[in-house]
Amino acid sequence: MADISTSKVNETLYRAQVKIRKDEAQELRQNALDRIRQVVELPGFRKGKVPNHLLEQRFGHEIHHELLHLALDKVFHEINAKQERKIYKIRQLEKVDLKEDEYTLSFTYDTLPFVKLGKLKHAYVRQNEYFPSQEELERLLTGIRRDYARYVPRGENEPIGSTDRLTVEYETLVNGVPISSVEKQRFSLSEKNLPPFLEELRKTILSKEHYKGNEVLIELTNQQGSEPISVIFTILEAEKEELPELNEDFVKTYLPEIGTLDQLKENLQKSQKKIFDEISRQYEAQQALLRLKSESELYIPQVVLEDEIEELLDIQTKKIKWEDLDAENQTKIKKSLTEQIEQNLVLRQLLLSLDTKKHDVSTHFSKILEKRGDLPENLQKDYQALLAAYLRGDFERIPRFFFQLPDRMRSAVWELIYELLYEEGYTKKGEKLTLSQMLAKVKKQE
Amino acid sequence: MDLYDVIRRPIVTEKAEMLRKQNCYAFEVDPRANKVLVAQAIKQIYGISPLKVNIVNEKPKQKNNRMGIGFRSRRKKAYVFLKPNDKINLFEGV
Repeated sequence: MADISTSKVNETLYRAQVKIRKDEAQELRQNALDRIRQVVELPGFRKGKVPNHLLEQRFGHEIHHELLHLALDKVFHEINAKQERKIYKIRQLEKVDLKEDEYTLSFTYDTLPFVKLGKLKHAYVRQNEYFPSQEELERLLTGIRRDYARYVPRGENEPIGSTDRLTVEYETLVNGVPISSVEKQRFSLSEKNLPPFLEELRKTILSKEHYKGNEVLIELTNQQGSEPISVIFTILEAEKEELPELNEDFVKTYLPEIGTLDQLKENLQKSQKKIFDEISRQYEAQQALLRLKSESELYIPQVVLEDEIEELLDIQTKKIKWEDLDAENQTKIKKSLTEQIEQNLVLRQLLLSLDTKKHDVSTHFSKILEKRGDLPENLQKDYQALLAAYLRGDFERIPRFFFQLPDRMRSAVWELIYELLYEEGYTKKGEKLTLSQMLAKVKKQE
Repeated sequence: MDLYDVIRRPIVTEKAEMLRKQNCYAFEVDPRANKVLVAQAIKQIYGISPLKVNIVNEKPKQKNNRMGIGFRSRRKKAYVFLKPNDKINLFEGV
């Protein structure tokens, strides 16, 4: 074993001083020579048969590097086994002395990120009760009625309304020259996601009074370097939207199993509340995590953040071009990624803090995956291995782990946290509590 | 013949390295050289008197090439045996 002494420079930066004794030093040198020997090709010698003295004479520089690499590898291993704070990366090699019989090394290193979890009860987020208002209900009902709407032709002198259905003929001109034949289109003005030229038409028609038979000229905004494009529309037909009466007959056509209008309203209210509750539950879990993060102490070396951001950007920049973004956007993205990394580390610490002897996280997780029933066996094994690596602190996969996950595994991890909290005995099975409510009940830390 | 022209280059191969245990060094020498000249040249260049010198004449090997039959050049090898405490630094300063 090498003599290693470490001293703290700051929370995430340490200094190590290492002495490797003669017997170990010789073993390392022999290993380094063997490694180089395997790759060297010298005329007159078969591969792997070059004697040591020739290697040292001809490849001294490479051997020195290999030796340093092996020595640092060994030291890393020993530091990670003994010390509480694990090594992430060397920041600076201060002294390297690889003499024949004794090696002396001195370097500073950044540690892996470390999270001191705050009190779980502080993660509590008050959740507001929600009931759909009368206005929302009316909006929903109008939406339903619109599906059953009838369209009646407008008179010559009646102005066009915002919910009308139009039949138009149009011709596209570039620089005043028509580029295609006259085309016909029918669409409703209340439709969402209309193509840009119809969107322009809608804006123009609704800004001033227009009538059936009118001609409307639309100039499309120029793209850089392109010729000016204009479209001439002729409104052939305008139809007025007539919504069905909201009465019991309508209810019977819409949902035959529901008898009265009041019942329909009640039904809508319930389904709306259910959707909202699910969204707010997810939102609340996110908020609880944020609260927990702000209560926790996070020690993340700058170099870890930089590496992770770079890695995450590699994934994201498949969709966007990083160079095309302006400085403001780049800062914004970096900030949001940092936020994600921090949240992820807090979540990992939370999982670790729940991983006691009584509750084996891995077993729980495999049970959850089995119960879900929507995953093939090999995928289940992959997910289990991933979670094990995550908990073990296999750094290659830590910060990126959570948001790189497929949705199914992500929700399984959330389920796991809920399950572990149930097991903790603070909540009863079937009792529907949110994450923050559960965290607030954990008394282990107090 | 100048003594510095007698020894052309040391032979560094697995086989020559094996002979090193017997304190023997292999050299490629001028085909005109003989044992006496090699011994004198070693004395002149390295300042060491060899115990004995063995000479091997390597015959030119026949090789086929696209022009027909060709030959590799012949060479003369000298195995120089030294006294137990003597040593030659072949790649000094490399």
